Amino acid sequence: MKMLWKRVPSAIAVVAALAMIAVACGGTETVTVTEEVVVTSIVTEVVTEEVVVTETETVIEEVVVTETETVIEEVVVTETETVEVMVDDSEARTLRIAIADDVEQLDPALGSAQLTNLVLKNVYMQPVQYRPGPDAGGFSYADTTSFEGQWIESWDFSDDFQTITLRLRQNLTFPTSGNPVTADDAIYTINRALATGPAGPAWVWGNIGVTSIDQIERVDDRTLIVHNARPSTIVLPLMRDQTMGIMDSVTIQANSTEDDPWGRDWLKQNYAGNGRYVVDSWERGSRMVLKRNPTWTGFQPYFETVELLTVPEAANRLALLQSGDVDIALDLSVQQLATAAGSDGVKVLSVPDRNGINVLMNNQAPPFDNVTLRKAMSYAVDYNAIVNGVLDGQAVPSQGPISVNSRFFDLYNLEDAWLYEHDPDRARELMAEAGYPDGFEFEMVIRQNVPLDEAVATNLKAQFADLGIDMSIRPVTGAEMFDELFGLTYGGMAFRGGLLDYVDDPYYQFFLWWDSQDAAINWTGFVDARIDEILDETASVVSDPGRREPYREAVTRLVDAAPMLWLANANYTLAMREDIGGFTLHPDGLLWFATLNRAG
Amino acid sequence: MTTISPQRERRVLARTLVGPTAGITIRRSLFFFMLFLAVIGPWIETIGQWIPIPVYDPLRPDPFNPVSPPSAEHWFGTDTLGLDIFTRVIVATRVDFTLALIGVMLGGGLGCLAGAWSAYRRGWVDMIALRIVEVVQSFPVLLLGLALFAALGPLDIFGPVDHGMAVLVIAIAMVNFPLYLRQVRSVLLPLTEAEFVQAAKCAGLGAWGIVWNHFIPNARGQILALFPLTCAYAIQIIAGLSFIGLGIEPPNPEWGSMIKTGATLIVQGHWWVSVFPGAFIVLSVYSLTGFSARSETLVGPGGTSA
Repeated sequence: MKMLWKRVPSAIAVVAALAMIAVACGGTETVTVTEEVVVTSIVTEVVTEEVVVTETETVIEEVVVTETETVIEEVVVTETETVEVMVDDSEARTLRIAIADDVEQLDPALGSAQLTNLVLKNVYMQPVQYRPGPDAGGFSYADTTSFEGQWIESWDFSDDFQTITLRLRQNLTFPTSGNPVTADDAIYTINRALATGPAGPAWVWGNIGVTSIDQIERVDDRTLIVHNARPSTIVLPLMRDQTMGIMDSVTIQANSTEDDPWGRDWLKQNYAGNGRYVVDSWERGSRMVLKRNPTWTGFQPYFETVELLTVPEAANRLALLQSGDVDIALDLSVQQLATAAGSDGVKVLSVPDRNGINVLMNNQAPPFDNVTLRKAMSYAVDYNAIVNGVLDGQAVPSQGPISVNSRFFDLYNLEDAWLYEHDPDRARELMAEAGYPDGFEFEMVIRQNVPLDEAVATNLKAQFADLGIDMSIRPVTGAEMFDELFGLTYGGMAFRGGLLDYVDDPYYQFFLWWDSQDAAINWTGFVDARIDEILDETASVVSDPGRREPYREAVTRLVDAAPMLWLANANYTLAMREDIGGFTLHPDGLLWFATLNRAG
Repeated sequence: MTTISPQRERRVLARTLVGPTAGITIRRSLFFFMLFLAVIGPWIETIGQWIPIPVYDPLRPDPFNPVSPPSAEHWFGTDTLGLDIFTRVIVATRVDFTLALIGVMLGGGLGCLAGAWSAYRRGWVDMIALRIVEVVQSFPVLLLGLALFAALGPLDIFGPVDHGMAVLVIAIAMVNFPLYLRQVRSVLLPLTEAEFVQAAKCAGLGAWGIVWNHFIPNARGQILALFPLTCAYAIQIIAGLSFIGLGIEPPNPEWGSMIKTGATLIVQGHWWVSVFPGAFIVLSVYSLTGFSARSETLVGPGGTSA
């Protein structure tokens, strides 16, 4: 004990020394931050001048140089500090985003994960993209009725919509190789898509009606004609798909081999595109750096550099956002978003979206091959607990297969097709009618370690338990989940987070999910011959008045058959620093870097 | 080597389980408290109706009340799903204690038998037993657990028994088997030439008879000392494996998986989600290791002091 007391002074000395070191470090940091703030304001001034004074590039350069030099003289004294200002200017023009996983690969034909799709959309150039809509309060929705050409400058449909004339944009080049973008690149891209299918761009071109390269006619160096296209309302929306990026055929062919004639192995790890941003470097597992495409002559994105930093732990992504080390943190949980919203310098965008929080039921296996039981489950769900509890009010109750936030929901007046609300008594009646008066057991498959999946499953388990239903939860890996869904091997229900149709159109929703013959993701095994008929009849109808009644009938039939539990339409949420602005929500939910700026 | 008389053995047992002359220690009180919680765990909701403590269904989330700090309604706060942490740490006591106990008894029992047999037979039997032990012990515990889950994960071999729990028990048994084998073998090795063993052989008693009737009883003190220690270790293993997502499936309450739920919340200041289940692990291990220390003292050579 005596010895211990003797050590107290030296312990205090050590603690004091450590504290001094900590304070010293902290002080240095504060100084740096202050400088950054000053410089940020300089940059803002320069940007304002750019917009106000003129639109020509020459004058912009003059103004930028003058303003920057003036302010540097005022604020900064030494040469060393001048260099810091230059660095800080590029800092302001750098957008840092914390992402959860590494980008899988870079071949547009193979992308599947949302994050990979996000990158592919920004680093490759699709034929068209949506125009941004009007300001909706600090952000905008993409206008899904209006397109602007990207690698095609203009397009014309024949009267029967079966022939499309595409005119390529002139004077485009692939920045990494310097090769010009030609009609040959377009033909190679389509040919490669068809050859490397059936998924990805082959599936997209197939739905446009292109299944053979012979359907593409090369008229001249900047004109292509697509013959025998399939008329539908989603031809142009499909052309904005992230898989449709034009590729540098010369570079890919130079890196192809006999065994790999389409350069698939090479393109997974390398880059041959010309999106608004180009891949500058990629350190697998840690960081991908994108640079603004210097060869694009149209509207210039504000950010010169976009850094994607892989931060697997969500809490760390949030901490980086709070400290200002990143500008945007993706994939935060509901609770983390609430924490972010209460943090200084951070804002959370929560935008009504079509993201479907839906629980899949296996319609081909007991017990949910019984339509009465499926309806009982639809009445058993406490929708309010999901929407306002689990999703913290960042959602609205769903009302069927077409999202309430889809423009078609109002256009087709689909509100009266919806049947279900939380009604345990009605659920019990239907359970008894279905032959399960005393409840039953089933299993729900979810993805492991996904907070939303666990939250939805746990809440539903408790809600169903009130009706005597014993639901067990089986977490599986993402790959196992896909196997179960495509193979329809899951026992009762499956939930894998939000399900978002990349195109907002009822035809897209139905042929994707509900066509019993050809649906790409018929994960419920649902079959309805009448809905198949309606789809066949309306597939080529390109006017909304002509589709309204058939789709109303299809939606009504679908809701009545309750093949899945449509719980909620979740908002698109994004946590970012307060100065980030210019966000545009696209229907595919893939963050579009080109419109972002620091004018938030 | 000391052999223990039946009288002394009874005294050791009595002192270990009931109390030494010096009185009730904190550790022992803690142990009995945890044991009490393990017993009442499943009926905690019913008990909550009789006495005014705020307990809830451990599996019923309150989606409108997630991550709320400790309060009069929720003594230990709630987790991300709005589950009451106080109820869940109590219910989890039985899960962790039971799995630890079964795992240790399984692995320890087999280890004791193998250790005694190995000591009696010596030769190639002993050599093979030791090589097996070395192989098993060369794996880090978590790696061994991961390998077991990977190997047994796809197999549907446990019938109605929860698959994750069954694999956890096997993992604990595998970790404990070599510990007990080595301990028992080292204690009994000198006894193979003892007179009472020779006498038993002359009397015509078979090998298993000698091992069972004369060898195992002589190692009982050491087994008794090892048992609480390995149970504490087993609780740590269960929590560790659950923390990395193996074993008890959420939302079933288990301390390790509860710590995992809260691990990412600590940086946001939501300390209670992890701290309370963590504290229960610490208390359990602390109370059990205390028992072990006391047992060692009591059964050691000449160890009669409390």
